[in-house]
Amino acid sequence: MKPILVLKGIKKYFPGTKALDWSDDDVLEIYPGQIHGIVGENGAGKSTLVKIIMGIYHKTAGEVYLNDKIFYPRSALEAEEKNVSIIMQQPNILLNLTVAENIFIGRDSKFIAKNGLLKIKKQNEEAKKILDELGFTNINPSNYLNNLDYEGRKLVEIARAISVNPKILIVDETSAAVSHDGVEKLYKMLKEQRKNGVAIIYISHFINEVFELCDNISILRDGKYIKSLKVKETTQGEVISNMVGREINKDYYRENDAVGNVGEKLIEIKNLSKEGAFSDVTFSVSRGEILGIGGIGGCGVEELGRILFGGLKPDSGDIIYKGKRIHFRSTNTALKNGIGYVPKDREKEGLVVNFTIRENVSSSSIKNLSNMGFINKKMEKDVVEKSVKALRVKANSIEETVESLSGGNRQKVAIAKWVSNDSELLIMNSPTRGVDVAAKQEIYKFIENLKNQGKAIILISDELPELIGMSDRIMIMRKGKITGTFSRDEHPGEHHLIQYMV
Amino acid sequence: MSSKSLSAKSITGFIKKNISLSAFLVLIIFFAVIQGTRFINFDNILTILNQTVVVAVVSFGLTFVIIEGGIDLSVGSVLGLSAVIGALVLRATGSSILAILAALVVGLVCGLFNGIVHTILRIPSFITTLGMLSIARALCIIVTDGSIIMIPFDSGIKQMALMPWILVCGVVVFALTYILLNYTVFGRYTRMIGGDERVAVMTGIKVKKYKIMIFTLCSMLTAFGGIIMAGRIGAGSPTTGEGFELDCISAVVLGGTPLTGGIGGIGGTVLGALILSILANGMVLSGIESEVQLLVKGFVLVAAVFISLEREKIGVIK
Repeated sequence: MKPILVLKGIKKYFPGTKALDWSDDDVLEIYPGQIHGIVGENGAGKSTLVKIIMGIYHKTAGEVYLNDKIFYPRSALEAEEKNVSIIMQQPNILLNLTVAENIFIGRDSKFIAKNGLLKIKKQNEEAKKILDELGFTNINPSNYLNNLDYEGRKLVEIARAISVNPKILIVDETSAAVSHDGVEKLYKMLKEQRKNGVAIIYISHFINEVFELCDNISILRDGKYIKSLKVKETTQGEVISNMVGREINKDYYRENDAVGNVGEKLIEIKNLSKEGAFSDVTFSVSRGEILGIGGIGGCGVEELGRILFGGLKPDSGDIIYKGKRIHFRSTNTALKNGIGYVPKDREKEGLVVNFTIRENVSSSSIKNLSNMGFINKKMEKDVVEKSVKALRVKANSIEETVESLSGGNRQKVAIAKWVSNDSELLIMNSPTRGVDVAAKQEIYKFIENLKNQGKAIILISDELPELIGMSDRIMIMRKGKITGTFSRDEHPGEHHLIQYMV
Repeated sequence: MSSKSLSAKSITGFIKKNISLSAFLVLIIFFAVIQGTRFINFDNILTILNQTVVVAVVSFGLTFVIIEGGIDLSVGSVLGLSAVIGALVLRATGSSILAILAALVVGLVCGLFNGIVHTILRIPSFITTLGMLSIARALCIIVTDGSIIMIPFDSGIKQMALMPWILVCGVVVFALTYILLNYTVFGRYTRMIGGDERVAVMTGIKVKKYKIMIFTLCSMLTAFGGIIMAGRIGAGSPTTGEGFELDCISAVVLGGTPLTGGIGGIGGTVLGALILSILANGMVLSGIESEVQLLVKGFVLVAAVFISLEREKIGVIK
C-alpha cells in the first residue's frame, strides 16, 4: 500500500525555540484507511506538526507530500480544498453564529441563491444531515453556538471537519474536551471514516486511547522524531518509555490503597440547587480528604465547583463551612475563607500568561504578603519560590513569564497559586487536563501531599482512572443528581462507575 | 547571518523595546540640530518642564486606568471643571487651600461617577467617560455663566504653578504614583485586572471595587492638574482642558503603556509627556502654526498606538 501523506525532515523554528527539529532523513508516512496516533509529552511538537500540514504554520524546512506531490497549503481553507481537515485542540468556532453557519463557514457560497440571499433552510437541512449521520442528533443546526455547552461546541467542530469529506482527517486532543458519551461518538465516527478509507492522524495524551483506536503510533519528543511503531507489535510501556525517554511506573497515582487519616468536617453542602445545572445536592468534605466528583459533560459538576468558590450563585440550599453557614457575596468571600479554585481552563481563568510566574503565584496571597497595602517583596519572593519548588515547576527563574512554560508547568503554576496562600479547601477542576505523563505524576504526588497536610480537596475530573487512583471517596453525578458515592476501600472499578454516569 | 545584519537587528530590537526613550532622544537631537541654542538653553528647558507637569500629573492617573484595561476620555473636561470650581471657591473665600480641596472633591465625584457607572451598570468605560466628557464640560459653562474666573497673582494657587513649586508638585505626584503602582497591592491588582479580568475574578479579587478606586484616583489627579493649570494661566476658564484627553492618552501610550492593558508604567508616562512637550516646544520655536501642531499631535497618537498595541491580545481590532 502506498502512503497518502509523507512528512520528511520537518523543521519549524520560532524565535528562541525549535518547535520541530527533525533530522533530514526522518520520514513519517500516513496510510489511507488507518488511524495513525501521534504521541509525545507537551512541547514534543505534535500540534505544530499538524498545523504545518494544515497550512496554519509554514515550515522552516522539510517537505510534505500528498499522493507523491509536494503539498504546501497557504491556509487551512486551501488544505480543506484538497480534502484535508482538522479538529483542533483549541476551540475554533464562532459563538455568535448558528451550528449550520459554523459547519459551512468559508464554504457558504453553495447556499447563495440567485438573488444574493443565503438559503438558510437548505443550509440547516444539510447541516442536520451531517449531524444525524454522526449521531449528534440532539444538536439543532439553527441553534447558536452560545447556547451550547463546551462539549456541544466540540461536536460541531467535529461535524465541520467531516463536512469537508476529508481524505485526511486530523484530530488534535479532542477526546480530552468531551465527556465519555462524546468520546464514544467520536470513536464510532473515526472507525467509520477509517472503514471508508480515510487516513486519520490522531493526537492524544491518553495512551490507552491510542492503543484502543490506532493502527500505528509515531512518537515525538522535544521537537524530534523518535520512531513509528505498529500497535500490534508494541506495548504501552514501550511507547511511554520512548515518550519520556525513561521507564516510568505504570501505577503513578497515590501509593496508599487505604483511605488514611481523615479529620473533622470542613465543608457541608446541604440540598444545594441551581436551576439548569443540578438539584438537591448534599455531601461533605473533611480535612485530609480527597473527594473525587465525576460525571459526563452537563452533569452539573462544573457549576457546583464554581458555586463553592463564589463564582456563581445557587438558587437554594446551604453551604456550611467550618461549622458556620457561609454566604458568598463574590469570589472574594472564598479567597478570604481559604478556599482555592483551580479552573479547568487555566489560560482563560487561572493564569495571566504574559505575567511572570511570581505575579501569578502570589496573586492569591498578595494581601497576606503586604503591610498596610505595601507589598513585602522579599516575603513574596520566598513564598513563591517555596510553592514553585514544592510543585517542581521547571523554570529558570520565577521572573519568567508563564507564556514560556509548557502546559504541564503552567498547570503547576496554576496550582501553586492556591498553595501559596495556604488554602484549606482546594477545588480542582481537571487538574491534569492537557498535561503530559511526567507532570501528571508530579501533580498527583503533590495532591497526595496536600491531603497528608490536612487540606480538604475536591477533585473534579472526567478521567475515571484519575478519580479512582486519587480519591478517598468518589461521588458520581448524572444530569444534576448524585447517583452514587463510593469509598476508596471498596476499590470501585471503571466499568462499575461508568454505569452511574451514563 | 552576517554580523552586520545582526547589529542592525539588535538596533531595531532596541528601538522596538525602548520606543519611548528612542523617540525622546531622536526629538532632542533633531531640535538641537535645527534650533541649536534656541532649543538647548536653561530657560527653554525650564519652559519645557513647566509645560510638562500638568500633562504628566493627569497622565499618571490615566496610566492606572489604561493599565487596568479601561480608558478615561473625560480628563479634559474634569480638568476644566476642577479649574473653574477652584477659581470660583478662591474668589468666594480667598483661600487657596479651600479652592484645592473643592477641586479635589470635583475629581472625587466625577471619578466615583465614572467608576460606579462603568462597573455597577456595566457600561464600557469608553462610553461612560465620553458621557462625562460632555457632562463636566456643560457644568463648566453653567457654573461660570460662560465667563472666565480670574485668579489673583498673589494667591497660593498662582504661586504653586510657578517654578520651582510646579516642578515639585510634578515630582511628588510622580513618586507617589510610582510607588502606588509598583509597591502596593492596589498597583498589583490594577495590573492583574488589566492582564486578564476573568483571571482576576477567579482569583477572588474585588474587581469592581478596585476599578472604582482606579477611576477615582485618575479623576482626583486630573483635578489636581486642573488647579495647577488654573494657576499657570491665571484663570479658570470654561474652555480649559478642551481636547486635553488627546495629549494625555498620547503621553501614556507614547510611554509604552498599550491600550490593551496589563503592562506599562509611570516611568514611561513621564517620557511620553516629555516627548509631547518637546515636540510642541520645538514646533513653536520652528514657527509652525498651531493648526499644524494639532495635526502632528493627531498623527503622533495614532502612530504611538500603532506601535504599542498588542494585537494578539485583542485579536480583532474594531
